[in-house]
Amino acid sequence: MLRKLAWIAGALALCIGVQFAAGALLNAYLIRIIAVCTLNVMLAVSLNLVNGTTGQFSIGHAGFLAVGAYASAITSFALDAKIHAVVPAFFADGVTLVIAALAGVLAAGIAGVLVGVPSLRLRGDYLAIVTLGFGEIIRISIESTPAIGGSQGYPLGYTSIPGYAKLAWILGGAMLVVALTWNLTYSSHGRALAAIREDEIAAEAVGVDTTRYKVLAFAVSAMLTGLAGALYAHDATGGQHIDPGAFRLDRSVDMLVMIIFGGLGSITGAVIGGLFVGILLELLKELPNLLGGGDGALVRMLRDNAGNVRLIVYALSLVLLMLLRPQGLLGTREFSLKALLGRRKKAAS
Amino acid sequence: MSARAAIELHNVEMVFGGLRAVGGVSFAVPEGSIFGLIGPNGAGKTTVFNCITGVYTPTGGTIELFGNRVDGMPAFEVAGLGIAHTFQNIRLFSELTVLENVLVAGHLRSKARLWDSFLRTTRGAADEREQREKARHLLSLFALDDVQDERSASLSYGDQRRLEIARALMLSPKVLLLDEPAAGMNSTESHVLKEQIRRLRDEFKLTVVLVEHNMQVVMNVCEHIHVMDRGETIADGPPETVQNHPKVLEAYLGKGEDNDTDSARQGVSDVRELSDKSPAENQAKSEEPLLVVEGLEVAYGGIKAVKGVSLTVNKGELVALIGANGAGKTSTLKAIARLLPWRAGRVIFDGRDLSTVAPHALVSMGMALSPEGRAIFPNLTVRENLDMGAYTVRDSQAIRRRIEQSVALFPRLGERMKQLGGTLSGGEQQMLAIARALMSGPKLLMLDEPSLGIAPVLVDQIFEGIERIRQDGTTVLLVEQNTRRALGAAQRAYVLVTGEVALSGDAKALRHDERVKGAYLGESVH
Repeated sequence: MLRKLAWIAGALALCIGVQFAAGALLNAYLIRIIAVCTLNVMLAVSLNLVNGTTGQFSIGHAGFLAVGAYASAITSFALDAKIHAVVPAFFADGVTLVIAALAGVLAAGIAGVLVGVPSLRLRGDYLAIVTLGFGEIIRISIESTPAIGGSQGYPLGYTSIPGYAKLAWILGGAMLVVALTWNLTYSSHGRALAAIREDEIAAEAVGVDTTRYKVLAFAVSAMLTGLAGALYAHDATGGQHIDPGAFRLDRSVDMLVMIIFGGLGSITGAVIGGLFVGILLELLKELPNLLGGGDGALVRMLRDNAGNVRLIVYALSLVLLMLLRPQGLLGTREFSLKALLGRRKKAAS
Repeated sequence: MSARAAIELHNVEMVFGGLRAVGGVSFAVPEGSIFGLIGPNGAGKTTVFNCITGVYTPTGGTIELFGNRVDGMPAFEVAGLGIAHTFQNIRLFSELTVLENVLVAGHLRSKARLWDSFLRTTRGAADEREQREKARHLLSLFALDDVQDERSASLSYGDQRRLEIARALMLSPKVLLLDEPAAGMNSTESHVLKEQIRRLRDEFKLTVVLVEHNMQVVMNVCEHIHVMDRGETIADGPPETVQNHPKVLEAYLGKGEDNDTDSARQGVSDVRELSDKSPAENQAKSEEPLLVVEGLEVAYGGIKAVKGVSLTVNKGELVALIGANGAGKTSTLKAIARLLPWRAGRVIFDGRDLSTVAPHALVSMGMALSPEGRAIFPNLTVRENLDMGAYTVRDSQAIRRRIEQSVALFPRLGERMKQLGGTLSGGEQQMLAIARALMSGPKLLMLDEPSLGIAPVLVDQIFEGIERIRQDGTTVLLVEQNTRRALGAAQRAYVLVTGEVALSGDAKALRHDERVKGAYLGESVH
């Protein structure tokens, strides 16, 4: 119990420390990149629970992200003034954010159950198609609902989503996601999920209710993605405006690349994959400037075809990964200093 | 032994589409007993097994566990009620560690709720400790505690089998169903297994149901045996009774050429009658070897299926390779045809070492295989199937001649030249498979189970055809589960037992040899 409290206190101290240190030492651009990468980590770790640990295949997680983002933004937009009227000013922003985030988590969780149910009958490619369809349905539904801004995004007009999710909140959210999935994965429930991945028939034979656990995996993963969506919508460093264009299929593909890169089934791998993809995407955006800027043919080409260049780099890095390390950076294992040092020692002796 | 039945089947029936895999099977497994469920290939044992464990819902009848209906329940619920089982082809969670494999099965008895897992509560932690302790104890019973942190896929085959049993025991079952636990084990290992099964029963107060092909194990360890053939019960009782039951002998050894369907003593006397009318008796034997196999070894993963088989087939001979299910007959044949990699050994065909020859090149060298299950091209006509068999032949005259020969050999094929292969009956498909193999004009024809699953009348025609093929000068290596048939047709035979040649010699002499029966049904020790 004491140890757990110490962990929580440490995590809180770290969040606040980073917040102040970043504010004092880094410029807004770098803080923004840290926030984006941290959100990526949340997404990768949540998706990994379904695709890595449980061995199902979702490429519709952008849909859960959208549900979380929209539900939380609508909530905070509606309740912001009311909460600020009753709660002391110092806490009001935080309370609003927490309530909005809970709404996002809940909505995404419901969506997770809805998608999880068909997953009981479907495997592999078929499940992938269902989840893909789900993601697209969510996006198109948002686009065709004028009340929440349609394709213009939310909120309409000159208002914006309150930017309450400071870096500390995003870091805290990521730590919470990692801690919860870690606890779940390395528990008796998590072993049941891994058993489904390894051999569904054998899992049934040793008493695992595979149906229930698949829905559980989907629901938990969707809720955590919903949390990421809430923080994304309220990201103080972001645009404080969300639009359906941010939740296209390529967002789901980004998430998939993160966990494939890190190694399906590894939480630490997902963390590394999330950071890697975040930094890679940022570097690609900056590529024209890094090449000296100006207006040369190459720079112009890169600038005009940013999307395609990104795809090419993705494809190349994935091909390289499959050639050099098909199981991903860490495989299903977790990163551990002990194992790393142990291996070093073995190699040395 | 208590009189109470642990598992009771009443008239269990399983129909798949039009196929009646199990037709009304009833038996009771006495509590605390070791019970054997046996039968030749296709008897329906595995289907019954799957009905009990909840993989299938039987289409008729009831299954009770200590008086409670379990038929139709999902597999995980059946497991929860106390029926644990292992798999014929080992299904471990291969990426998980040995300890984790066992722990998964503890999940059902775990007191930890979802929140305990998420938040690592003290209750969750205490439960986890308890589970680990129990799992480690089970692993230590199978001497697996030293490897508990290894990936389960890295274990040896025998250890994987034992781990599967340990995992099943983690469910704290009342009944343990073992599906072919001795498959792929050598005689020492299976001996240890017998002891372990008895010890487990006593230590965990279990009822054990065994589906097993290794008759040494079954006859030795089981107290009660239920024998099935073609989806129906043919015998039930203690090992001594079952072992000498005429229907059981017939199911395993096949019927003789005598087409009498009468049961009783017929099954036994068949053997003697047969010896008087051997078809190929006085044929002159050439001593020139066409195929020489020396110390051939084949392994699937960690399992050695063929453990150093040596055999010779001389030019013009018909040699039979017989043995029980899983003895390694088909593996030997496939290895000779280069369809399986060799672990060790040498194969010389027509004076050439085959170690560097690709499988497709063997056809032009004069080796043809008619595979088990026939493997004809179902969407090609009979004629097209035959043409495919002549793929290596350039001479259209020769092709035409051989098609005529095929028709002469199996007139049925002539009637069905334009029919699609897939629409033929099983026996006709078998004829087509043999004729197709002959199209390349082979020196050596290898036949894998030509009588498997075929109506008796057609089996006669096929065996007549085989005899004529040999008379025409083609050397034949025949793998056959119908022992009496095979020994009736062949001049020499090799008997395989668990991947090794146990007996070999003159087919006529082997027909009288009681040891051949032993190779199939195991020697009784009671």
